[in-house]
Amino acid sequence: MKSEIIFNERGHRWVVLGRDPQKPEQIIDTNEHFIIHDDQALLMDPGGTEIFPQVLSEITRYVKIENITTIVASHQDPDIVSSLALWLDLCPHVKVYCPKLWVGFIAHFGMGTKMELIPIPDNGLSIPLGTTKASIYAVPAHYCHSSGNFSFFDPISNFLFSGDIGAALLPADESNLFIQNFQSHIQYMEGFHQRWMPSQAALRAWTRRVRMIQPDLICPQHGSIFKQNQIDEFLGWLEKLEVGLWKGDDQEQELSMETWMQWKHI
Amino acid sequence: MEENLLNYQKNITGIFGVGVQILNLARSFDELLQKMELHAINGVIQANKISGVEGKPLVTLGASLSTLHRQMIPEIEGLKGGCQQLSRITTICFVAAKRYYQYTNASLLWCTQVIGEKFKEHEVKIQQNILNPQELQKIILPLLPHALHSIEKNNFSYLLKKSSINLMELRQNLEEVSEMFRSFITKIRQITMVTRTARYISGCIAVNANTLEKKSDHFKGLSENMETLVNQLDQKQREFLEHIDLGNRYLQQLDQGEIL
Ligand SMILES: [Fe+2]
Ligand SMILES: [Fe+2]
Repeated sequence: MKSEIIFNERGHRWVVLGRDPQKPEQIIDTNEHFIIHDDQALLMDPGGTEIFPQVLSEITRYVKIENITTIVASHQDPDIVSSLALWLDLCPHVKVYCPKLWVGFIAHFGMGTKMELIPIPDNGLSIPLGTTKASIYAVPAHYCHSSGNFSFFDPISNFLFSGDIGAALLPADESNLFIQNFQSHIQYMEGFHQRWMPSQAALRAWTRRVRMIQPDLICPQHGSIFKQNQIDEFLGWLEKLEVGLWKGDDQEQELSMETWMQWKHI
Repeated sequence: MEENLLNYQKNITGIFGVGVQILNLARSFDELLQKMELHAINGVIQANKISGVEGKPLVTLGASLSTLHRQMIPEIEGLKGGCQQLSRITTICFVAAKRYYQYTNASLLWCTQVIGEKFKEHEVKIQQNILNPQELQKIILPLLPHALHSIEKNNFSYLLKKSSINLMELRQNLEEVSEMFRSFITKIRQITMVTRTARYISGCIAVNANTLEKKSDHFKGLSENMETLVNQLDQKQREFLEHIDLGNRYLQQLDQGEIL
């Protein structure tokens, strides 16, 4: 797994991890982003159990494990936060924030560890970075894709962690951390958004919020990072993208009488 | 490393499987003893119908046979409860083994990066000592570059300490499993004693039945039924001890970090 510092000013660093060559094939590639401020760290969507050793071994290069003080989860998916019990066991003072809607569900990742999750209300929250003066903001992103979903904005770096919004499923030979050409990147995002994003209205509401925030970077949990004018191109593309309604062939979903009879052993 | 963990977890799952078998056996002890009780009660009813002194010994024998199941309820319930406890502990062990693997794997991944080629030379020795964090520390510490950042040094020790704690908890839990197996054997010995008593009583019933003028066939039948049930109980007890034996072998392998 590679790591790169993409912001480093005034005792504030934003680090991104990803592109793990040792990752098992069936596991979707994820990016883990974390912020270090005054030697305390906040992890955003720390990932699944399967990649935990890789993520941990990279993080240990930047921050004392005991100083991981905050974890935020954008939503409930296993690639987002199924490693949570391990982090809680390792960093006993860590505070974990997740969408209010998913508190009781994420607790199922407990593996016997005591879990105290701090619910993020639907309208968002200012989340302190441990005992430092820095905070990040949970920006509502409901139904993009999860019904309880947030993006996280860091005002010091002016970066936005967008979770699954802007996610791209890149081919193995496409390992650029930053998008090189937006137009040719669309092919890797389109299918993901059409299938996983359930609501066009929700996506448009999110783009309005992001236009207000005006971040310098948009960092999704899968794929590559958007910068400068790519951000505007991306928001424009999202606004026009038709999602949410099943556009596939209905036949794909139909159950033939033959299959049904086979299942029922008739 | 992953293979080591998978095999280690396989042994833990093996113990879980032993727990399931023991639970099933405890249930069949219960069923067999219940059947024994019903037959005995029926025997008492029939013996009461025999007039005069002739039926009296059979009433007494039947009555003592009918109490055996109730005497064994604490043992059987103890076995059932113990099996639930066993499945809880094996789940904890399974998770602890996973945690141990995750922390150790993270430390070793980090080592590969900071130590580089020199780390590969020691890989065999490291894998051999994968279940011994102290030994791992002894092998790895001299290989670490002097100019290593204090954060990384701190994290390496922290992870090994966490691994040791997990391993210690894992071993404590496995020791608890071993104690549970011992208590299961004590309970099964109690049940064995009851089985012997039942065999003896059913023998006495057969002897007494021979002296009866009437209904002798009925009590011979009762004695034969009892004999069959006692044989079944004996068979279940042998199976039980075989499972405990297998469980103990799993424990031994886990202790030595080997695979069964
Ligand atoms: Fe997701
Ligand atoms: Fe995701």
